Amino acid sequence: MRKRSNDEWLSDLRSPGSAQESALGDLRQIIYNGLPYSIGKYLPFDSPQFDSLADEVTQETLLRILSRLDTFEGRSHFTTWVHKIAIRIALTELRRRKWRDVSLEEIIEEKYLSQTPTIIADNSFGPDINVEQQDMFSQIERLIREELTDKQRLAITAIGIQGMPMEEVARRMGTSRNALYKLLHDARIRLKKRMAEDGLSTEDVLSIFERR
Amino acid sequence: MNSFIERIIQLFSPKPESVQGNRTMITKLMRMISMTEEVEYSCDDVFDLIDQYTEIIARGEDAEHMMPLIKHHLDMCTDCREEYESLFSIISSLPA
Repeated sequence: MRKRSNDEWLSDLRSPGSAQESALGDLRQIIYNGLPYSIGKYLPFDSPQFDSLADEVTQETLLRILSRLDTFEGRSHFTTWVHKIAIRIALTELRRRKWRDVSLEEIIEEKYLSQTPTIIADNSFGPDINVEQQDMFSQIERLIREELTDKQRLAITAIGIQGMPMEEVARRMGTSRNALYKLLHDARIRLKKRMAEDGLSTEDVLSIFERR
Repeated sequence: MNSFIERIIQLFSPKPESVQGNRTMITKLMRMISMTEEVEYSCDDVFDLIDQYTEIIARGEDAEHMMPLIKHHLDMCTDCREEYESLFSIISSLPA
């Protein structure tokens, strides 16, 4: 495989013919070699599905690179930029597959911020700790209910409790991952301000819930 | 009708797993709030720069001080964190 500078990659990929074919062939191999590092924890290299997913990701990555060559700004090696794109494509697909059978409705039904928040007595803590935790939980739950929109509450529940990837929550909410991050950022800002107004610090809350 | 009523009762009955779930959620949320800044990079901002950031880290330079907003976002966003870790594994293991 021929080693290329950033400029050589761009030039070869923009030149229809043998130079472009050679560059695409080399890129195909580079992308494929990197995929085990990103998809390995979802799909082992020797899994029957690995090759077909790798082919799919590689092809999609090459198409995306060719359509976005003008966006490469040369701040990294070209191949690093390519790997970044391949990783995004691969992990998006793998997250979709992993979570495809989970709906937000299921998460709503299982939410821990119920209408009647209670904490079952856990005797290892002692009754005083439980009362304190229950009071604090009620306080936090009230802040969340008063400060956040329905969408923000749903997103926090899905991501915070169920550990659903941002991308998957965004998909189900009909928005983008980027927009969802901003929605959650706004939620955190609101809660932070409200807690400060109420004289409540995150350290105080953590000390109550982390007491064991 | 009986199964509907049973479902409503189930939804609002405290469940043993709710104890740990409540605690987990609250502690996660509090940590996130304590780390919240007025200005944060979004996922798109980080995606644009993550290749540069990762190469700086791989060279052993102090990217976290040079690009603190990226570091902060990676601490807050598990999706971006996962992608960064994959990229770091690739470029620190394979030739450029």
